[in-house]
Amino acid sequence: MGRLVSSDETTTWLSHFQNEFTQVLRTPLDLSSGTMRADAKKYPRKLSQQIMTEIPGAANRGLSVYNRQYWFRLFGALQSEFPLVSRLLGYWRFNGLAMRFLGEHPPQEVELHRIGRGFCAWLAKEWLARELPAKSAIPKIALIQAAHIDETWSRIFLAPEQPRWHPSPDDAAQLLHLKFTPTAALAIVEQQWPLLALRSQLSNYPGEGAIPLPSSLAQLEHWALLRTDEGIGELLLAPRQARLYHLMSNHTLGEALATLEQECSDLPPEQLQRDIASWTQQSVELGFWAKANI
Amino acid sequence: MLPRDALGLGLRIPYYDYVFEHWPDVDYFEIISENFLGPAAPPRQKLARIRARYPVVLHGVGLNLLSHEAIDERYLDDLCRLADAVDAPFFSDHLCWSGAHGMNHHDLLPTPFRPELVEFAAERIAYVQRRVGRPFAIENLSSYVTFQTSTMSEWEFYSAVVRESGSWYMLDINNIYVSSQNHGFDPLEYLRAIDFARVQQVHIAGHERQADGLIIDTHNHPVADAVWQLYRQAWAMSGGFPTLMEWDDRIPPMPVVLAELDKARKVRDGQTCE
Repeated sequence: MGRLVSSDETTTWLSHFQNEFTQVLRTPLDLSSGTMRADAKKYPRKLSQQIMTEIPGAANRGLSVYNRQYWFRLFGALQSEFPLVSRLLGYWRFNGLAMRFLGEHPPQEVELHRIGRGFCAWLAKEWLARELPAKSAIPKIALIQAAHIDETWSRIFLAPEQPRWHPSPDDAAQLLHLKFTPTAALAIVEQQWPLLALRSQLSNYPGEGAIPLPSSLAQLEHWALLRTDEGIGELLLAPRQARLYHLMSNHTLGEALATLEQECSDLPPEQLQRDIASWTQQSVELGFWAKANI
Repeated sequence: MLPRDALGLGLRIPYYDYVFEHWPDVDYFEIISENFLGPAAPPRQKLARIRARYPVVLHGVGLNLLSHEAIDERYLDDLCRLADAVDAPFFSDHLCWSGAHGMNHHDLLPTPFRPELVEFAAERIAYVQRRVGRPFAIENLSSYVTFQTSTMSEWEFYSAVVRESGSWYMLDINNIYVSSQNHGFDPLEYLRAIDFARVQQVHIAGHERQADGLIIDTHNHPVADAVWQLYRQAWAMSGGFPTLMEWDDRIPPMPVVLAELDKARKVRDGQTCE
């Protein structure tokens, strides 16, 4: 079956027209009035002059609908992808950020849920480092952790199905030489505030304003997030357990165990070995690993 | 093809729990293709459960048929796989563009209506229909602007594209009403231009009127009385068509949506929809 070839003249004409219409859509909304208003003065005049209207001066009314619709659809999608961050900041402040991010990173892919790719990194590097006011009620690190949890949640929810790894008799004989690959439906996140609990209670906070950040936890927590048939499960990990899974994801099991033993010289070796045996068994039973290879 | 009196519902995430518990009396579901094209497991698993009980048709928003850019072959590969997976009786998308110059705008955008664009659109639509190997139905937009460079009416353009491409109509009655109010044309003149033998499906949905009188196609309300009236007229002009209700925002509990869908049956029977 041959590929499609279309008339050059029509595609050239469409290209010009769609370039101007794109400028209308992507014209940033004006925040100065305290509402997000379309700023029709910035639309390309050539396109505005093509709009049919019987009401003088109303040519841009319809274009403004498209301009606002463009941004609000993207705001809504980004809020859905980043529920914790958007509620901690409040929608007004979040949408202002979203407009800047999407202004720099125009959506390119057909799946709407992918528009937030890179948002977490952008937030951490480009915005939080420079512009979060020192007097802000929300510590920068809390927002970064919240963004990471949101991003991770979405990524594992949308991960493809993968088979679970189960040890074969051959594997048992060479266990220490195996390198484990975590399933795409697993991630380990950190939180210094009870952000996962807050995320599960967001529906208790109606409205669009900023919600309060709960008090800090006594110590940094590590949680495994694992998608199952019932949804996304959360499992609180001991710090060394989280460290073990991180090491197992990047080294052979033998190397991971040796490194952990070195790092945990304060513990009696028997206790560490018992813990490691229990943690590795738990990870296999819960389906943390998609495969293990020499 | 679906039965000409079939009543279907646009499948949305808030419906899943109700559907899996009650398996409601709906003739078929329509899915948004883009929500199921990727490798994500949960949407695919849910779709497989639904498909085991109901026919499923595909409705796309991302083919970008009237863009200056080439049709995305990778998208078509994914669409073929999805259509095969659910054995879709047909698939549909919009007579519009949704991205340009490497960007995806995630909106259904208008163009001037011109004869040279009929040829351009028909060629691309015929190609997509051949490539997917199933009937391809094209939906009319609701719009908020018209262009002085148009040399045809929307219904002349739409019908010419369907005819010359050998494709089908996915006729949205609410969109006809919305555009007729926004641009001041007679919606019945639009309907009279339609070859109803080539209508695969009709969409109905709610809309919202702004303070300045402009109507926006929001899909967040029950179907307006004026749209039901137009639907009844379309039904009378045709030999019947599958009818699908879309509700995309402020989605009420599913029984409310099902009751709204059932109004289509009453309207067709000449009853009021109170």
